[in-house]
Amino acid sequence: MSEQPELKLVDFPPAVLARISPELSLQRHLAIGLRPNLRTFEEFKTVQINDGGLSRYSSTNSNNESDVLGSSILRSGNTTVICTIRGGIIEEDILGENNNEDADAVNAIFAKDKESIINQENLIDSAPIYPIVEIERGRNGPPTDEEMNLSQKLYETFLHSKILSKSSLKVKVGLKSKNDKNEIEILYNDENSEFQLGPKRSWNYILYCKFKIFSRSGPLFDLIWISLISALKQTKLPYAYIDENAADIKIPIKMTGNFGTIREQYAITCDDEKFNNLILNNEEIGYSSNFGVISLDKNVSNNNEEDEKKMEIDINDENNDSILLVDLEGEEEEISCKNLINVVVDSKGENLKSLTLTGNIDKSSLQKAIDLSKKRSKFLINQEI
Amino acid sequence: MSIQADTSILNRVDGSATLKSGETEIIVSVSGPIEAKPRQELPTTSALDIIIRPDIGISTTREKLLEDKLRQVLTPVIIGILYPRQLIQITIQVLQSGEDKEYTSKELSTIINATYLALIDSNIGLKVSFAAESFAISTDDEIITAPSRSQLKSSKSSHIVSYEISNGKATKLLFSDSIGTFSENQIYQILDLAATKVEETHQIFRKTIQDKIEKDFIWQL
Amino acid sequence: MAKGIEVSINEKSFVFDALKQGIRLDGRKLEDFRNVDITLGDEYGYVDVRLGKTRVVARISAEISTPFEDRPFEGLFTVSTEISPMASAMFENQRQSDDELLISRAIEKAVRRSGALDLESLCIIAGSKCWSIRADVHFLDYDGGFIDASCIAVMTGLQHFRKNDITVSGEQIVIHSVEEREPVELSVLHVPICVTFAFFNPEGVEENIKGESNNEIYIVDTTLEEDLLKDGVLTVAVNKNREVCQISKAGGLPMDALTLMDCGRKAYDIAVELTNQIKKLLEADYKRRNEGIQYKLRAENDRITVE
Repeated sequence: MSEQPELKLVDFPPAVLARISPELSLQRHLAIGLRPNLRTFEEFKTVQINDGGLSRYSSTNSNNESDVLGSSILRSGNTTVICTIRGGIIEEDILGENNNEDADAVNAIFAKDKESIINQENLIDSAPIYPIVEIERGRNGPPTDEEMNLSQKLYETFLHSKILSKSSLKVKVGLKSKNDKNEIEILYNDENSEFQLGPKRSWNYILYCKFKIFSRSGPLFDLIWISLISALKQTKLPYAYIDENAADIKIPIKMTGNFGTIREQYAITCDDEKFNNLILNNEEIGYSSNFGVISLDKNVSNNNEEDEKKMEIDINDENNDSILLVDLEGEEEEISCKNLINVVVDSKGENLKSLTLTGNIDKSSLQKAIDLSKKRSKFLINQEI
Repeated sequence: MSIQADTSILNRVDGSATLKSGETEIIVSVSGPIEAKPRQELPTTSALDIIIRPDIGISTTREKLLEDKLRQVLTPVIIGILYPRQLIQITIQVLQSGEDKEYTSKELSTIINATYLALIDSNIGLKVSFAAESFAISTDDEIITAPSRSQLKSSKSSHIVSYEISNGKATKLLFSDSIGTFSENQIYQILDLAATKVEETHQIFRKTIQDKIEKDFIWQL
Repeated sequence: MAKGIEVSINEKSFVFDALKQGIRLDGRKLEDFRNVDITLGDEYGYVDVRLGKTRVVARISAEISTPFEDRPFEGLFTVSTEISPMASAMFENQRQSDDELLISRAIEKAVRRSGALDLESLCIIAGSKCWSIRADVHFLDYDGGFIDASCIAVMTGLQHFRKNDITVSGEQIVIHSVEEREPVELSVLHVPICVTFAFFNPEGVEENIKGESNNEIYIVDTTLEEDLLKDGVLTVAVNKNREVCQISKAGGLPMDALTLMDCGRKAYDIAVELTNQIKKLLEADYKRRNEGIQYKLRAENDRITVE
């Protein structure tokens, strides 16, 4: 009873404090107007991006055998994102009313109102991409939740942004045949307008994109989005042709009994040299930014009264003790920021493409965030990355 | 739009609710707090296991993303410290999605609302009430509350907004997700409109909860 | 993780004593099937089946796909039975337990392999296009009888479901929306109904030769508690044409062969009753849907659009 238990203050070096009490560490930083990564509150991380030379059409790539159609390598801080785009060709299910021998007759009876129905659908012309996101953790295994969520969010945002039209993925098939002089040549629709290909079928490209991410240090959606757009801008689609010799093969299908049927198949080959640029709807392309909103802990700042004055300068809105942090980075910020904003804008900065708000976001922070992301998107577009 | 809700409909779980709002119908079950697997266990708070199952087909990354969004809504409202090292298992079965696969807003808003009722039914501690609503903006810039399947299909953008509700008033924003093409002003309009709409929805839920308490056996003699 | 429910010895002897006197805990006779409550949804192919406390929802859906190469004239039919922890904490998510596997297999055998759905009618263009029919069974609440309930749900769903009408011309298919043309029903050849019997040996004495002193009991449609206590199980799938589609008795208590005949007969009676119940329900639903517009949409009326 006589002895008072003595409490000793324990000192930790900043790096240790950041690990054992990330929230306190962040508050201490914020109180002196700094972020743990030494950026100011409204400073984005710089992004460096190049085409990576992985694509078969890249000037810096000597490997013409590569099946990569477009690529990009992005560096931002410690994080590296490698994006490669590959393609495939699938046969399109053509609606009977569009392309048929007796299309007019069929349409007259069955598909009177078809056009009006189709035009009402908003996403009918928007083409998807199929992303795979891999965050390297130094081990293999099934995809983590973060990877799956990122790829799904990317898929949805891309589809709804209408950046890519289905029409730009159409394969204009040519025909490889022998001409009069017995030389092999490939005829394409656009070179010879009279030429009309026999089969009433159509084919589409589909685009797969794969992301590999090294040393993740913060929310990744922004970086993936930038690298996807950059890779798509450089993506080229090869010409494709049907080899006349291989076309129209009739394959009998074996069946017990008297049945027998034939099925046409076309072998489609991609041209080694000729290609088209992938056409994107440029006005829809904008960039993505993320923000965190965190309220200042008065207790922490009161301890350092000297620093309080400094803090006042950094916070524009004096009545509001919540701070908008731009482009979150590092464990401390990710753990402490419960209120998040993610914005994707379009090219002109007039409209938004996607907006996700988590937690209690007040209107002024939201306005500021949207404003900043518009500015940033403009900056990135002008930078021509 | 019609909302039909019912609670305590399943027998082998701690709490359950079904919610039919327009074309969308969801059933939610909550088991918890139950023993967590060592890998799920969190030392200071409860672990949340959220399973969303689609009405048709097997669950894909689409459901994974929905699970993640629902987790963002639930983590701040469930009082996790009441159940440290324990698990709250929430299973959501979509019975009728009422929208095409490309959209998720109607499903998510109904899931959030149904989960709210199921959590109350299971007596899991909640910090605050919450409710959600889905919106769409049509091509002529009109905001549609709780769009139908065809309205959603022809819309420019789809939105989901969820608010915390205390004393019948929408107080804080909990979650919002928008996708498509929309202007900054439209989003402010939607956020304001959502606040009044979720309050209306909440009044319906109060009635549901009142019915539930009246029929709970503990009050009966 | 909360595991399965265990039945105490007291409960066990209570159930057994009651069974010996021909009484069951829920007041049924030994050979009574629980009341089946079937609800049809607004959408085609949505069926909600309640069998006592057990509740199962089946969703039937259709899409156009490519047939298997070795079966060019047949469409596809898949039954998906994944049990989530919603039904009971004894079922873990995405990890199939033995029970779950048995249930899935039994449904698969009764519905798919008995040829209840005419697969050849699903063919559109031989070798390249066919309908793919999918039945998703959602188990919501579990009190025994999953096999019986899901079989009823899937079979009712298949009969209730309507797929969009199509027109084939050359290689192209026109899919008509529901507004445009009355959707067509699937060709269901027969309706197998599963009836599950459980065998009990309350004396605990096993006889290899079934004699007079044989006290073994069989009951129809077990609840979960009875299900956990059973010594052997038999599932019979029959249709109302008196055809047995499936019999499965995987081990367990050896039974008198004549008892099996008996069970088969009982199963037939139950199947007839249920088939008629389903038929009535579907007729009522058809009437409700087509009230008033029935005649206008008839094919022979040359597709007059409804004003």
